[in-house]
Amino acid sequence: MYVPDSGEIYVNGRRVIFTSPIDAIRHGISLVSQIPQLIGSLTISENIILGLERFGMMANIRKVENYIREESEEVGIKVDPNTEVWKLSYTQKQLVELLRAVMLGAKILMLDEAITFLPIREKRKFYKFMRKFASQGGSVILITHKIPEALEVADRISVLRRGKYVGTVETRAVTIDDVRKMMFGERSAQITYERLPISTPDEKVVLDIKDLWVMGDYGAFSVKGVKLQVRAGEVLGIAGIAGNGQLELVQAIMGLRKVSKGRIAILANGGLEDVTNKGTGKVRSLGIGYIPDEPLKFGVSMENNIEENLAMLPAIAKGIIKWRQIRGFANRLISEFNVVTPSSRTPVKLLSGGNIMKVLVARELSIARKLLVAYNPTRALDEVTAVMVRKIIKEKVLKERLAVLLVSEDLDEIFQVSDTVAVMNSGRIVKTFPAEKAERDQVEKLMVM
Amino acid sequence: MRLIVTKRVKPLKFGGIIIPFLSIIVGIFLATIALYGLARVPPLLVYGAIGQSLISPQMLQTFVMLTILGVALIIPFNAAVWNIGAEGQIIWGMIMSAFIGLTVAVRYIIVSPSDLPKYTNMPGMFVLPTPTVSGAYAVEALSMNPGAAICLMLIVAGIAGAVWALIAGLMRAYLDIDEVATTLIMNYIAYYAYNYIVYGPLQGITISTSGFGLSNALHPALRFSRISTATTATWEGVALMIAIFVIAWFVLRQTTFGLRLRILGSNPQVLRAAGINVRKYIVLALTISGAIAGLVGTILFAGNLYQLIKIKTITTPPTHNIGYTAILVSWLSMLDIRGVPIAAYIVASLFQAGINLQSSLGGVSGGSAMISSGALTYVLIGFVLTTFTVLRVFAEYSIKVVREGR
Amino acid sequence: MSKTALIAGFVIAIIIVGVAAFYAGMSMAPSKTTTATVTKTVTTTVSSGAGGATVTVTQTKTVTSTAGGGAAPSWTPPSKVKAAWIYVGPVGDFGWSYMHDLGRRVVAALYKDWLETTYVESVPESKLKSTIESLIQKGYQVFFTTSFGYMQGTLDEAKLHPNLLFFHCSGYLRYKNMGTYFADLYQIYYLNGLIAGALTKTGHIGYVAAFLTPELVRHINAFAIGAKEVGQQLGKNIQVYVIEIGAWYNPTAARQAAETLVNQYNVDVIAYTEDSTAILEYAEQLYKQQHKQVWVFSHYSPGYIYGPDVVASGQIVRWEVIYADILAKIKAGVYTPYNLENVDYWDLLNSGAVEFGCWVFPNGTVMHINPKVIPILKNIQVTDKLTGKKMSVYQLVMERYEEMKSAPMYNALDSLAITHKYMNITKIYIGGKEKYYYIAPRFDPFIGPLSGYNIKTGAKVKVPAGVMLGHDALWTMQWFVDWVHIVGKK
Repeated sequence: MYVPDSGEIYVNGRRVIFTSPIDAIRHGISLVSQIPQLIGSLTISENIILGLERFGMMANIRKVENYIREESEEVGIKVDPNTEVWKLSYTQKQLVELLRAVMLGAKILMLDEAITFLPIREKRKFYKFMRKFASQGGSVILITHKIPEALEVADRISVLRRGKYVGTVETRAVTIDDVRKMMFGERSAQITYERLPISTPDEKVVLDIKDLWVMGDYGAFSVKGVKLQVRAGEVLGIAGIAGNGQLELVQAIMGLRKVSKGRIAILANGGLEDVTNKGTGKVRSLGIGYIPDEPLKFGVSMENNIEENLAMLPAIAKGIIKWRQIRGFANRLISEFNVVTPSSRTPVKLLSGGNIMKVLVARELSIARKLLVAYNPTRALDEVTAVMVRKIIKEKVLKERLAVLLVSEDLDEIFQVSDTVAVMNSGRIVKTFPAEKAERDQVEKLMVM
Repeated sequence: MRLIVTKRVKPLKFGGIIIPFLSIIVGIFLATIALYGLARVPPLLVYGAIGQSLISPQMLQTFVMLTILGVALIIPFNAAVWNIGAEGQIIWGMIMSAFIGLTVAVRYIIVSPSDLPKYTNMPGMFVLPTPTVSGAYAVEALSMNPGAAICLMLIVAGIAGAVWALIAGLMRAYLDIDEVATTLIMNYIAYYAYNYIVYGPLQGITISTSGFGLSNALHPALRFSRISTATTATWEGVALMIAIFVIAWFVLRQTTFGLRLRILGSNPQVLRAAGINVRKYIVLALTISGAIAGLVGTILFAGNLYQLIKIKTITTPPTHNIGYTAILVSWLSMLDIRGVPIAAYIVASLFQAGINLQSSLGGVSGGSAMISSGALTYVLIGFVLTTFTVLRVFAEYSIKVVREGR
Repeated sequence: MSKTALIAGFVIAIIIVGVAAFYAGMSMAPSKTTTATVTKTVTTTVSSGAGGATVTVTQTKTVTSTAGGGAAPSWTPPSKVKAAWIYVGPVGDFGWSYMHDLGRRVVAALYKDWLETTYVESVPESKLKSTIESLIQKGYQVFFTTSFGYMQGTLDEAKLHPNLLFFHCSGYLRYKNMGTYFADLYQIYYLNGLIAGALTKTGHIGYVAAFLTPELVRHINAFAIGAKEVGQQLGKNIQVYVIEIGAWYNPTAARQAAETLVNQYNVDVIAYTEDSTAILEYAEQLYKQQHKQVWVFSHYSPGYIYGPDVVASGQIVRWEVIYADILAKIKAGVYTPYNLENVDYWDLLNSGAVEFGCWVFPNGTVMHINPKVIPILKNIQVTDKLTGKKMSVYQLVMERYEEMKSAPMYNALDSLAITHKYMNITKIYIGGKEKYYYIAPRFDPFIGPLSGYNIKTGAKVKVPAGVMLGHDALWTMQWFVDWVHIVGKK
C-alpha cells in the first residue's frame, strides 16, 4: 500500500520490495485489518475461493468448506461456509478473514487492531488460534493499543511511538507499567482504567425512546422494541457486541435511518419533542452532537481541511463563512485537544487517525448543548488520548449537565464513563444497571447470550 | 531493478499551474511531430498558427462561453454530480431567449409593400427581409424597453436551463437514477424539441423562412453589442462571464453552501451525519449549473446567431457541442474554479489554432486533400489532453527505481 | 511565491495578452475604415405571387454606409484577389462540400496569376463569424459561405465589413456587399425521372430525402413528373415514396431508408439527396448478392464507379462555373462591395453549373446515361407530349436535355435577382412576323396543369394549364404532386 521512502525490508534474509499487497502475500505476509474486507453478497467459501484463484491455485470448494468448518469448530466460533457474508457478525467476519489469510499460505500473519474490539471471551478464542498457528511455524504480528491484550498473548512486545521505534521487550520480563512507560513516556501516569466520578442524573429526560423498531440493511428488524431514557447529566453506556442493533439504534436516533415503529423524543423548549423520522437536520438543530461509527467515513471529510470540517456544520457556520472566526475556533480546539497538525488549514487526510478523531470529538463536543450520541468515540485513539477524551466528556456531563448516549464495543470504556449501563443483544436492551451495580462478568455474559 | 509507482499523499507543489502549462507545451510539440509525420504539415506553420491564436481576438467568444460553462459545470462536478447536459440546457436557453426576443419583446406589424417605405426609416422598426406568404411585409416593432427585454431573455433562459437540469436533479436525488445518463439523454430530447420548435411555434413568418427551418431574425436593438468587429465576443457576454465567475467563486469558497457542495463530492455521508439534506444539495447543484448554462443560450442566440437555425445533423447542433467541450475545460482545470479561465483560454486558443492552421494550409497546398484539415484541431487538442493526463499521473504518483536482492 | 499569486499572475497575463491581441487584431485588419453617411436612391423591385401579377415598388431611403477611403463608393479591384471558402462539413471526397472545394481548386489553378484561395471546413454556424474574422485578419477579401445556415451570420459580417465581398450559397438574404448563388438540379431530376419511369417494373419509385426543404420538394416533384410522363404512357401506375432521414450526411439512415423502400414499398428505382455513397453501394450489393435490380441515380458527385451495374444516371454539379464567373467579375471591377444587392445566381442546365449524368470521363466528356441502360431505353417507345412524335425513351430524354440546355435567354436572366421573375415566362409576344419569342426552354417540367397537396396542411394546390412556375414559386415550394407520398405520413 505504501512504498518506503528509505530503509529496507528483508523477508527470510532476502531484501524485498513490495509495491502492492499482492507482492506481500506472495512472500507469505497477510494482513487482517480492523474493517473486514469481504464481499457481502458472496458466501464465505466464495469469498475465500476468489482470493485463491488470483494466485492460480486449484480452487476446490469442498476442501475450503471442510477447512472452514473444522477450524471454526476448533476456535469455537460457529460459521457455516455457505452463508452469505452480510449475515455474519463482526467476530465471525474476522475469523473468516484470518482463515483466508492462512489459506493464502501466510507465514507471517499481521493483525492490525483486528480483534481489539471483540469482547474478552471472543478474543480468547482467537488467541487459541494464534497460538496454534505459531506452534506450526508461523509468525503473528499483533498490532494493538491495548496493553493487556499484548501482555496476554504476545511473546515479545515492540513499541512504536509517533512513528519511531522505542524498543522490544520479552513479555515475561515486563509489567503493564513498563510497557505503558515505553508507549507514553512521562505521560503514562495519566492513563487510568478507574471509573471516573459518577454523576447523579437530573430528573429532566433529554432523550426518550419508546418501543423502537428499526429495519437493518437487509430487510430484517435490527432494533426490536427498544425503550430507553437518557437524562441530563447522565452517561448511558450501551454495551454489546458489534452487529447487535446498536448501529441501527444510533442511526435511528440521529434521523439517518427510518423508524418503522415507535417514538423518539428529544427535549426542546422545556418539553419533549417528537423527532421520529423528522430527519437529521431537525435532530441536529436541537443541539445534538454525534460521533458516528467509522468516523473517517461518516464523521469528517478527509479531502477538506480542519477549518472546512468545522464550518460544514450548520451549528457552526451559516450562509457566508467568516473564515477568520472559524480559524480562531479551530485553533482553540487544536490547542485544547492537543491535535498534532501543521495548521488549521491542513487537509484532514494528512493527519493520523487519532488526531482526526480528536478533531471530530472536539467539534461534536463543542456543539452538543443537550445530548451527545457517540459510537465508539475513542476507537483508534491511543490510550492517553482516549482517557483524555473520556474525561472531557465526563467533565461536560458533570459541569454542563450534558446527556450522553455512549455506544461502545469496548467494555473498559463503558465501565469507565457510564453512569448507567445498558446491555444490548439481538436488537433488544436486555438489561439496565446503575453503574455501581454493574458486574463485568454479568455484562459480558448478557452480551454473548 | 524495479519501477515503483506510488500515489503521492501530498500533491505536487504548484501542480495545478505547472501541469496544464507543461501539457500545452509538450502536447503542441508532439502534435507538430505527428502532423508532420501524417501529412507533412510544416511545423513552423503549426507553431505560427498556434502563436497567432494565443493572441487572436477571434477566440474571445469561445473563451467567454467556455469560461461560463466551465464554471457552470464545476459547481456540480465539485459535488460529484455529473452534469453532462449543458448542451440541452444551452438549447433551452436559446429557445426561451428566442421566445422572448421574437414574440414577447416585439410585435409584428404587417404592412403592404406600398406602406413599407414609411417603416424602413422609422426608429425601432426592423423590416424582415422577404415578404410573408400573403405578399405583405412584416415589421418587428419593440413592445418593451430593449434593456428590459434583454434582462428578461436572460432570466427566462436561466430558468429554462435550470428547469431542464432540475428534472435530472430530481431523478437523481429522489429516484437514484444516474444523472450522467439522464442529462446526456435529455440533450437529445432538447435537440429534437428545438427542431420541433423551429418548424413549429417559432417558425419564421416570411415566405423564405417558413419552409427552411428558420425563425425570424432578432430585432437589432435586442442584439448584444460586439466588442469590436474583429471578435464575436460581446460586452454583455464578457460582463456576464466576470459576474458569474466572481459570484461562483464567492459561493464556492466563502459560503457554507459552497463548502458543503465540495464536501458532497468526496463524502456525502459526512453531510448526512451533519444533518444536511443531501438531496437538496444535489438538486441545487444541478439546477444552478443548468441556469448558468441557460444564460449561455442567450449569449449564443442574442450575441451571435440572432436566429434559430434548424439542426441539420444531430451531431452538429447550433451549440457546436460547446457543452461537451466545457466538460473538458472543467476537467483541465482540475475542478478548481480558479483554473477554469486558464483551461478555457487554452481550449479556445487551440480551437482557434485549428482554424488558423486550416486556412494557412488551404492556401499553401492549393487544396490537396492529404489530411482532412478539420481533423487538425482535434489532433492538437488530443495531444494536449493526452500529455495532460500523463503529466497528471506524474503529479499524483511518484515513480522511482529500486534495486532488489540480497 | 504562493500558489494564489501564481494564478493571479497568470490571469493578469491572460488579460494583458487578450488586450494586446485585441489591438493587434484591430491594426492588422486589411484597411482602415471610415464611416460616412451617403444618401442615395435605391430602387427595389419586389415581386410577389407565382406567375401572377407583379407589383413594383420604388422607394427612396437613406443608407448609412461605411466606405473605404472616401464618401463616394469608389472601388479599385485588388491586384491580387484573396478568396476564402467556408464549408459546413468536411471536404472528404464526395458530396456537397467536396464539390464546392473542387470548384475552388479549379478556379485557384485557372486564375493562379491573380487569385489566392484557402478554405476552412467543418465550421459550425456559431463559429462562422469568428472564422470569417480570422480570415479577414489574414487579408482575405472575398468569402464564399456554402451553407444555408450561414445566411444570417454572413449578412452580419457583410454589414460589419462593407469593403469586403461576401457570397452566400443557397440563401436569399443579400446586401450591397453580399450576393447569393445557387446551382439547381430540378431539371436534371426531371430527366432522371423520365428514365425512372421507363425502368421501373413495379411502378413504385423511391426517394430518400435529407430534409423536406423547398429545394428538395421541387427536386422530388420534378423527378415524379418525369417518371409519370413516361410511366403513364407505358401503362404503369407511378407512385413515388419519400422518406425523410433528417440529415444531409447519414449513410446508415440513408441505407436503412433505401432498404425500407425496397422491402416494404416494392420500390425498384431510387433517387436521393444525401451526401454519401451508401445508397449506391446498397443497390450494387443487392445486384451482386441477390441479383435484384434496383436502379439508382447518383447525386451531386459522379457516382457511377460506386455502382456500375445499378447507377442509371444522376446529377453532377459544377460550382466552378459560378466561381469562375464571380471571381473574374470581381477582378474586372464589375462586382464591387457596393453593387451585390441584386447578384443572385440561379443556375440551371443552360448555365453548365449543373450537368445531367453520373460520370465524367478523363477526357472531360460526361456519361449522361449508363451504357448498360441505353439499349433498354432505346427499346421502349413513347410519344413526345410536346410534338406528338413517336420516339424511344432514350431519344426523348436526350431531346428534353437539349431543349433545357439551350435556353440562351436564361443566360441573361439567371444571375440577377431582379430578372429572376422573368424566368416564369415561357414565350413572350413581340409582334412582327415572329409574333412569339421563347424566353424559357421549350420545355420545363413545372408547366401546368399540375395538381398536388401542401406537405404541411394537406391543402389542395392547382397550377392551371400553361402556367409556368418561375424562380419564386419554385424557391418556396412546399407542395407535392398527387402521386408523391411521404412515408410515415397520412
